Amino acid sequence: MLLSDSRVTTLFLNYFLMRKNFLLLPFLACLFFSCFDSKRNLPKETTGYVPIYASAETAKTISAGPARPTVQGGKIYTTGNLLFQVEQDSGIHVINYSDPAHPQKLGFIRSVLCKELSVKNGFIYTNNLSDLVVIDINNMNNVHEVSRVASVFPDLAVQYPPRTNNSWETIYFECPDPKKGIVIGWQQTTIKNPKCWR
Amino acid sequence: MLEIMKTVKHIVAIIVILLAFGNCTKESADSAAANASGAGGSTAKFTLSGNYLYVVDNTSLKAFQVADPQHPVYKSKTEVGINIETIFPYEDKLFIGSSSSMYIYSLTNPDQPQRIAKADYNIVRMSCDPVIAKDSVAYATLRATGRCGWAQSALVAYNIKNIASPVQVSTTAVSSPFGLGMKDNALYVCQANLGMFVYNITNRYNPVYARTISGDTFYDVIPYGNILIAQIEGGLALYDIGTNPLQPVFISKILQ
Repeated sequence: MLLSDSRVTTLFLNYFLMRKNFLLLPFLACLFFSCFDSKRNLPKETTGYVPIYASAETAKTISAGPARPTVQGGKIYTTGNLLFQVEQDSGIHVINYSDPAHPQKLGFIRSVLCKELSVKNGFIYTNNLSDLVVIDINNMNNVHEVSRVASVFPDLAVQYPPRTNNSWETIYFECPDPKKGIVIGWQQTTIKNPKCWR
Repeated sequence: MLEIMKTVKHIVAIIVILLAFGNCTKESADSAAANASGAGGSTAKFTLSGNYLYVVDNTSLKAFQVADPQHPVYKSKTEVGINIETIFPYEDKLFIGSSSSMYIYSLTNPDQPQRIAKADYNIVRMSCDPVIAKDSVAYATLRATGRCGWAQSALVAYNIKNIASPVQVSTTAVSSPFGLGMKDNALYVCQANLGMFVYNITNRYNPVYARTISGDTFYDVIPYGNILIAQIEGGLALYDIGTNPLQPVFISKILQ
């Protein structure tokens, strides 16, 4: 096999993601990663990621605010003069391009772990964590959630630190602790004795 | 002096925000409402068709009836295969791309989509592969690099005149394909940092390379009327494809 450790890990990770409840993942992942620890020289101190936690209530709040710069632009959708772009794992940019030469960002809709969207009749269908949420955007000054179907997209709620440029470099991170809340993002920093990596 | 500059900046910022939220909002909201559903990129996992939202995950297709947005109803879950990547609606069909196959589902019963075809990509075993379709042709890109596999990447054309048995009619070698889209006689294939490749599909079963739009990292496109919307690294870019779809003309970018 020519596969590197991290490729194998990712394959197994995918296997677990396909089959297991995503909430189990942090445990499974850490359990699994630790199997490799003995074969691997884990760094004592390295650049890595620590989870950013939020309470379930905060993570499930849909809210709208002013436009913000695109950092990690994701999936796109258009209807009429409006253009929508996912900001990976954090929300949706709303853009008016009725004048294509001067498109205007109208605002940003926050939805934790947002990855996908569709829009119809002034309603955004997207994911918030593993839930389907429907968001009324008919009035941009009063953007609000109108309905939710819980836990239907476990695949979309899985989260580990981002890879840049599809690279296969090992990423070390502090293992998520479900007691501290839901992981809503990752902060790059110097970490000591990392137990988790991908 | 610095203080004055700061104040001016603040005033400008406030005006911009007021303009954005006050002026344009009503107009855009109206147009959103007026235009029913729109279009997504080829790499989407969500799509709307009629009163239904269809979503693919790694292995299955889920149907939600959304006639009343206040009360979406989870109707069905259909096991499709493994490594499902993308979903694309065309007429009363769904085209689903996986790492090894293209699936076609009928929406005759929208609550419970039925499989009418499965075409295996007989050239690669592991890839990421959005599918698009129009009339009697479907195109898929198979990206066999990076995390998606280790074989040759390709742009594949299918004859789908007989929807129940797609025939793979051509295979064009490409380097690093991501999303794709088409308008009239032009096919756009995003190839990340290599640019957006434009193919002439006057002969729809045999794409002929026309040109590359370079300078950005392209991931997906939505041809929408006369505008080509491109998902690029860092945001979006708009191109005019109204005059000649084979020669997209850059209009603007949306980054900040």
